[in-house]
Amino acid sequence: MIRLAARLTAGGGREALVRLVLTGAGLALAVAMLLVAAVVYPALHAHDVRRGWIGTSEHNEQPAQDESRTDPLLWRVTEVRYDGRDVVRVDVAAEGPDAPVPPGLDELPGPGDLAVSPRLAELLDATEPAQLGDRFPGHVAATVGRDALASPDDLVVFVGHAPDDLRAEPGVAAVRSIEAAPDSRDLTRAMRIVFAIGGVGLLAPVVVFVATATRLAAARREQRLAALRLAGATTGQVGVVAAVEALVAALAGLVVGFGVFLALRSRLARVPFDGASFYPSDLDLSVRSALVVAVAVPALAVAAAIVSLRRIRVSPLGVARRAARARPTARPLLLVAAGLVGLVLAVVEDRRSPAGETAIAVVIGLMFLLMIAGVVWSGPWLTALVARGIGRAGRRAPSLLAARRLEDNPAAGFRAISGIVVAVFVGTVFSGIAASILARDVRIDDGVGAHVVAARAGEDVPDPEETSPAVIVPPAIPADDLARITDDLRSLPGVHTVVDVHAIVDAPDLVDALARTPAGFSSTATLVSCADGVELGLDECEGAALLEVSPSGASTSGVTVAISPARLDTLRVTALAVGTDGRPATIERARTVLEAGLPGARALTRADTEALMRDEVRTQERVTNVALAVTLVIAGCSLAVAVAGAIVERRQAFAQLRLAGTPLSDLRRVVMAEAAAPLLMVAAASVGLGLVVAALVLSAAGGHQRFVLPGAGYWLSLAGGLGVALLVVLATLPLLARLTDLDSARIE
Amino acid sequence: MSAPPVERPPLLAARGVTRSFGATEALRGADVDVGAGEIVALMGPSGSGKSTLLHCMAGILTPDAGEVWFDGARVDAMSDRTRTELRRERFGFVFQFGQLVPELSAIENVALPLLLAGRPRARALGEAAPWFERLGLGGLERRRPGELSGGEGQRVAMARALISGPDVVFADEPTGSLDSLAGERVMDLLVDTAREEGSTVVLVTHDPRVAAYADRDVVVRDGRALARVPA
Amino acid sequence: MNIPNTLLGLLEPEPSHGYELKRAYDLRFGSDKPLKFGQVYATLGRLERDGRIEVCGVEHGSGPDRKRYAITPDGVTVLDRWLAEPEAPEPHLQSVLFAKVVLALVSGRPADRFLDEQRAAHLARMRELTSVRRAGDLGHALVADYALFHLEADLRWIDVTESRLDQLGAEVRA
Repeated sequence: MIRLAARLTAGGGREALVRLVLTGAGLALAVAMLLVAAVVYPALHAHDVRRGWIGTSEHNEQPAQDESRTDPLLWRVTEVRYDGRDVVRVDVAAEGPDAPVPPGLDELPGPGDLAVSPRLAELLDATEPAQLGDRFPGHVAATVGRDALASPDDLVVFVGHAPDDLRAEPGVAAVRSIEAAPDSRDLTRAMRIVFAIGGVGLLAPVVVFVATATRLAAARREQRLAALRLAGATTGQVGVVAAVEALVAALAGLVVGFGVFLALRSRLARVPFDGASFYPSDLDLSVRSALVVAVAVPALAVAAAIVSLRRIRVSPLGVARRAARARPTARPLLLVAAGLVGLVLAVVEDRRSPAGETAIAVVIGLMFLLMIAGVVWSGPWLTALVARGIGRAGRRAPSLLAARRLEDNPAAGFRAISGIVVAVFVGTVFSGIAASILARDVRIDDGVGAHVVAARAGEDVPDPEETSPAVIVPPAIPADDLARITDDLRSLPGVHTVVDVHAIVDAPDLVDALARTPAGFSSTATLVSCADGVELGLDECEGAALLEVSPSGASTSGVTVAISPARLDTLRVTALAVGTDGRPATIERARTVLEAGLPGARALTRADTEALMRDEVRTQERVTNVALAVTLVIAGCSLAVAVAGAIVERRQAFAQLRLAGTPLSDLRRVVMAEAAAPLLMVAAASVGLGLVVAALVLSAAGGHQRFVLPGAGYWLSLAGGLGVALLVVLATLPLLARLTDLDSARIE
Repeated sequence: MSAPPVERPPLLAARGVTRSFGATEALRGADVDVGAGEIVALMGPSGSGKSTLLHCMAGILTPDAGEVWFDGARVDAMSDRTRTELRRERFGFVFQFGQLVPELSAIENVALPLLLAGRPRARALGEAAPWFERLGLGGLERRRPGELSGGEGQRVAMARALISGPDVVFADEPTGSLDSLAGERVMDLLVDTAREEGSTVVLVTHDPRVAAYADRDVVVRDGRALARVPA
Repeated sequence: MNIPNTLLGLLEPEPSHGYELKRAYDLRFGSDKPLKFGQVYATLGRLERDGRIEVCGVEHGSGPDRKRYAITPDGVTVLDRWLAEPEAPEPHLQSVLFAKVVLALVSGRPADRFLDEQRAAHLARMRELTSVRRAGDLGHALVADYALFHLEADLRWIDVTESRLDQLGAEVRA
């Protein structure tokens, strides 16, 4: 039987070959996408795992070492900036021989030694020390290994100290173990959700494409299978024939898909899905994943082929008689609702008690699949609705023809556009969630100039001179250090001013005055003189202006205080703000001086603050929009195949219409109307539904994400994709002309 | 000249067969007896239900009501699997069109029932080969159905119908798409070969010249069959 | 065309004179071949001699045109049998078949059943001819074919007529 089936598959002629090739191509795409999702998803988790150590503190969630058997380790982590990138700086000093060692290191660097990541080593070699290297006291003695690095691009440096030196610096903690719990960042977690959804979502249009390709020349295929049934083939035997055909396409697709994936894998490693790229070996395909894909895809293809045979199984007369079709109902919308509820519940539950990464991904994927299934199954009902609308609103023959045909067989009408509709729905949910998660308040105008670099001496700490009640104050910069740093800064070319930033904590009257303002500033507020402030880009004022220097940069709120410059000078200096000429080299040098001089300090500019937020958003938005566009292109191909197939199938009917005097332009309008009208309306409904779904999921995920509409990139991709789809339909119209050409038409 | 009198119980019988398609009543109660070795023509205008009757008698369709008996067993009560086996082993079909598989060569088409029954390929093709000479199709074994003329195609279909030595050959307008000369040739061969093999033939046609090949005719009108007892 | 039986059939409803019968015949059946008076009276004479009709009234004078005839029970029997029995199938039966159908419709007899019987007879004859055609040499085959084609034409006419019986019946009874 199998041999017979193979014979049938091979002997199909050109029509069957086209169908085989298209189906195979679709399956190859599906395989490649599945493999990508299969490797990226765990790789993202690996990022979290390898970054876990950064969160080391005195109270680790998951200590990597037995805390009762270790010596204390002095530890301070600061994330500084260089040239728009983050550098993780860890100051360490071991208080004993058994101090815990972080991953990636064989031993802790001793005083005067540095351990750097490979990329940072390169950077140090290539850069002038005054801009970067001088920040880290010591010379490079070791390399940080992969176990501590999320991606090969990570910049990490361990600075070794003598314990006595480090103990005196602010911001240092004594830890007894390294944190081993994964550092679960919002962005990474979000991208994992996106990949779980995307694994299904990107797959859906491909599935539709495959289904559409399989339906090519369906009538003749049905006839052939019916003839087999008449000759005495059992339903099982006919199933074998269909299965073999599907299997051949699936195997071809499998080979091509694996090939495409392997070829692209190295490129894939460079894509920073969550802001960091991947080590190529992170993207190694596990045998298990490969086997699952290699088995699942052909199995699904065969199953789909067998299911599509349902009608032939009933009668060897095949296409001879067709029972009246059942009218489509709106009931599948319940599936959408059910899937939505399930998804929301899953996300809420995951927030409360995070389940295993695989479990949550599977559940989310399933719920999404349910929703997509609901959208696809309720499509015919929506199409029938649209058809009725056209029928009532249209006045000319083409629209009436299109409306009648759609009403008669809404399922077939919807099938052609189902790929696009699913792509739009999935893409909208994608974009809606991603855009909202990534949108953060990006304050552009902090009132501080872009050329300003500011740094403070350290975090707010309980005032060592007060014991009760405990007051939190910013630490003061020691006078000697202040003088030295200021001189060093002033000697840098390109530095215009060096401004002292004073804390008001020593002036109780000022504290009271400020506390009574509507904004209610606390005792940790800091000031600069207005004269200096103007140099920094602040507005003109009298007295002193509030300038906050925080771990995320310098900002002003416009509040001013009346105080004489003399009195201001008596207040302790807790931070410095440097006005530069804005050139990158100057800024980096200023940063280096500040960070070398103020232990544990981060010197930031306004650009850093923005960049911190913008970079991620930009990349992710780009990824999302590309995904949407790709999906729409695939779906557009489905549409083209379906429309072309429909034209071929109805060639006779169209030819006879032309014979009877229907102008070709009217026939073209019929084809366009049949495809375009349901496409646009149902797509609009999908967009609406997608946005609703995204909003609901976000509110369920809680946190601080407010729902925002996706940005211009999404709408452009959407419009572009739909436009391409319509163009694609237009492109099939010449086929109509050629097939119904009266000279060459053969009315059989 | 009439057929030999039927003494044994009929090989194939329909009793009160009724069948509708949606709202259309195709058969409203047909009674037909076919004796072993007989050639019977079901005649009637188009829409009379004669094809539906043939399909019901051949186990292709299940009647809504009534019984179909073949060789002492109730065909209408059989499972799909059993009926499929029946079609493969004991019935043969010659329809007007749409029954040859375009992807297979002529000889593979003829051998199809044997291949479906699990016969090894070489043996099945070996059994199919002699039929080509016998039906005047010598040299056409490797041709595809698309490369055959109408008459040749119908004779290939006939070979396929006869290859498993069927008890009954069901023919539905076998000469419908052929000109009279080709049609005559097909009918000559059908009747001669059926008699040689001892097969019974149930023939549906609206053409009296085709019906004249049969031993007797049954008129089907308005979904009812007026079974005639042979003179 | 079977003149005696046709006249018998025209006489059955009520007694008539010879010339009335001729007029009725010409009206219904004689459009291109009207009956001659001589033929009418000769046929009537034969029918009377065979006991199928009888004289039931005489006008003045002794010529045959003065007699009034009526059908006898024998005549009715003969008419019944003639209508019910199919004609021996051969080409060019149209006129007889038509006459039979009309007479049956007029007298309320089942014309459709008559047509069915005729069709069966035609088919049986076609079967015979087919055997002859297949068994014989080409000359005999061609002769048989000729008959077969004409019989087929008859059958077509029978089908059409059968489907129009109601309409025809309404016309002839008017």
